[in-house]
Amino acid sequence: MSEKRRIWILIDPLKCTGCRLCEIACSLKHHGLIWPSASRIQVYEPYPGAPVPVVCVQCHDYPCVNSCPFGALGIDEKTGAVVVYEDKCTLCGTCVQACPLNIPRIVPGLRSVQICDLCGGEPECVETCELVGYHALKIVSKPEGGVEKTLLVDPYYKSKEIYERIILGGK
Amino acid sequence: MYGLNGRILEVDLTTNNYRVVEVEEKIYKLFMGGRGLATYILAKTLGEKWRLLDPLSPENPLIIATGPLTGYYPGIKLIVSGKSPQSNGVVGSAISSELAVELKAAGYDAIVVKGASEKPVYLYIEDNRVEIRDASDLWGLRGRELIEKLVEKAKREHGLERPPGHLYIGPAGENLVRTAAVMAKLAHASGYGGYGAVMGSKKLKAILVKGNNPLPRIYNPEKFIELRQQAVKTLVERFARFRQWGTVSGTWYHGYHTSSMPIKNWQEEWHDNKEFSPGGFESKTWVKNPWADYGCPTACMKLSRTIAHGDKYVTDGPDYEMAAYLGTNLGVFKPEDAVRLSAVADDLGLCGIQTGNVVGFAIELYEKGLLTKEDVGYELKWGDVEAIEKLLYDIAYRRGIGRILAEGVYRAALELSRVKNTDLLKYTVQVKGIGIGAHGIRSGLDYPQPIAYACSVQGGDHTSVAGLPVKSTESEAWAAIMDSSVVCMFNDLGDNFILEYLNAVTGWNYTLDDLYNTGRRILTLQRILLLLGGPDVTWNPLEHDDNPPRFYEPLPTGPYKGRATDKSKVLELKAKYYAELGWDEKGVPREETMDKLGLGEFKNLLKQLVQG
Amino acid sequence: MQSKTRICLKLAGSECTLCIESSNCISIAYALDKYMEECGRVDLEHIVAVEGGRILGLNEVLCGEKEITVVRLVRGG
Repeated sequence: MSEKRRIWILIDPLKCTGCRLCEIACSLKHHGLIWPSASRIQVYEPYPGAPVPVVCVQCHDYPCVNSCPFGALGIDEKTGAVVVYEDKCTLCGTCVQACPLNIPRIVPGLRSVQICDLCGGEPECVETCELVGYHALKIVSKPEGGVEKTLLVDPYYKSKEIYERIILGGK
Repeated sequence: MYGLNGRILEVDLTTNNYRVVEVEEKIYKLFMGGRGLATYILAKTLGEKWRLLDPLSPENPLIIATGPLTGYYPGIKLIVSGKSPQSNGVVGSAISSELAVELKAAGYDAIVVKGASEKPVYLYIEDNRVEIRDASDLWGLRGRELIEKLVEKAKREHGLERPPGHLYIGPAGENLVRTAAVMAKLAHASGYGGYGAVMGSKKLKAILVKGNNPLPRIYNPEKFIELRQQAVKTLVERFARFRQWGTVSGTWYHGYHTSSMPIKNWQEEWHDNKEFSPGGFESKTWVKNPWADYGCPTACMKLSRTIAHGDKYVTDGPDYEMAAYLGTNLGVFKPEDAVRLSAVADDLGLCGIQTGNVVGFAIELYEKGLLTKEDVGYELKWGDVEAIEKLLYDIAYRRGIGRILAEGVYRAALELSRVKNTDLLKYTVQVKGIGIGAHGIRSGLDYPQPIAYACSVQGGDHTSVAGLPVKSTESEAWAAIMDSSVVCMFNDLGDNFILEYLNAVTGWNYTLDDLYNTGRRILTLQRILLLLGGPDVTWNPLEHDDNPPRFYEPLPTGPYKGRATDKSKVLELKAKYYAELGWDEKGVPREETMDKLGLGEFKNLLKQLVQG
Repeated sequence: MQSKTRICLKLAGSECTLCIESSNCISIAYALDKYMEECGRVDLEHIVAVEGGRILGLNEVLCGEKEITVVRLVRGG
């Protein structure tokens, strides 16, 4: 078995219902509370009927980890997820700026930045989405060679594209 | 306090001020939230002058209220309320909107908007930040354009952060149309009550809320997590077909099987048009299925689209009520046409039920020669989509005959009766100014009982129907509990389950009796305000606690042809129902009932009733 | 040895009560189906069986003497 075979969350916005049960699962898991703003996965539905889930894709070059001036971010050996060392994080926001989609979350009331940790290999968000049978989130093997970044599309843009193409139906 | 913030945001648009009002837990224990809390606020602050209070004056507040289960129970609903410009009572008008969870996360359980602005404004709330902003560039916009514009604004303001939750009105609300809804997310409407007009009277185009805090803490987190999982699992298992077809299944279920669907202003309640069915809608119009609101594993919504004359029309399923009221009730039997009219109503911010009701009334009058081309300006025919679409615009912009129909079916009938010098009220299918939902009672096969609408404190509202026994989910007490907790009626898993859930979240340790007494309390207070009514119309229980005349006419078609509502049965059940609620034979709450329910402070309102 | 099963179903607000007897145990799905046949509801998804406050699964099986409340879940729409 290759050591490099890591899990990855594949998102299919066309199957997403916009229910945000993944967000609820995430904040319950990490904070024991329903906390939409603190969820590490965020569902955007700026255009009705075109929800787009956004979550860390574990870029192969980890710009957030490399940008942190305090060494507060690392990489989990097993999952490849970004690890936040809470005691070192100063909430300076450098990683947020370094991320192509500003995905790390600085949330009022929390002392360190919030980044998806893949729940140690069994992401609750994916489990919930499967449990309710929407299947917008799926666990797959992580693609190699930077392909993961293709998922990093501005959710406003993505939502608009789906809205215009699927909901309104083109020109 | 658990499950609640204990804080209400009060915004005054006349003085441009706001303040946070703390609410004691004992008030929540008595009224929960949502509809109950709104009724309490209204009775407490405006009860004494209720009869003189014009629903479209600045004095009438617009209330947006969540409840203890908002955000915790699967699905999301909030209640829009105030004095209703339709019934002159209180209607708790439910709507799905992400604003509900944002509001709770922002630290408030409710917003009370008082006064009125001179210029168009919108309200922006983010945690402790409350801003009344200029909306001159938004005023006049229809639903779809407005949403697109709000998204651009959000993107400019928040960059890559998620846009806030929203509520808004369309042109119908701006033009004070009494059948205007408060809208959300393109196709969601808080229609019953006519609060779109109340919002319009305040020159308030939209409310945007973003909350960054966690939802309030929970009394028993372990129990809550267990119950929540159970609810999600049960809903997924049991509602698989509901997810597949949503309420659209009613187009065939109620149209063909139960004979309880409005057809041509309720002249009939049965059809066997196989195309006008969930399969028909799915194959002809759906572009997305399923579609869900916050925290909902049921996902009863779908998105549909149709194109006519090059224009695109987008709406949800449409929901059964829209398909019925902007479909069969108007003689429209093509899914594409029903989608088109529903999309138009949504876009204009019209309540599809109330507007479809008054339009059906108008077409019947035209059919009978009681309205003419001279009155309308064009011909009105059953199923004529072009004419009906034109009429929807005329109503939303109060043009021509639309000026009269915009008053809603009851007031329009009063005015037309005066002009035509003949009684036209007998053709209206409404109770106490509120058009009846698309669930007839004549066949006896659909869910509402014969007193469903006649004895409801929300008139024709099919989501708040009276029924016996009072201590059961068939009664309006249950609807009041759902609307106050606030739980979506489509995710109802029975009273014992909701009770357990409520206790796990709040720690109130309610018994089932406590729960139903809360429902009784809310209904009793609503009933008093409804009977006070005014200023333009008031209700006489002996005359108005009844079904529309049409429901006593026999069904003319279908397998249940000949069935009609039995008046003696209505009288019998009414007496039983009022007695069970502790109201007198006219449905006026008894003093001892009010004492027992802890409504002693509102007994002075009774005196006004007795005198008046 | 098997004892006789007798299940009675009642929906609040409805006058229609149905009792089913059998020498075997009875599944909830079967009982609800029968109830709808007798009492004129055609959509299984609109109702659930509740016993002592607990919602019974469609696949659950009941034996002995039981009183079941039928609760309408989806009202309106």
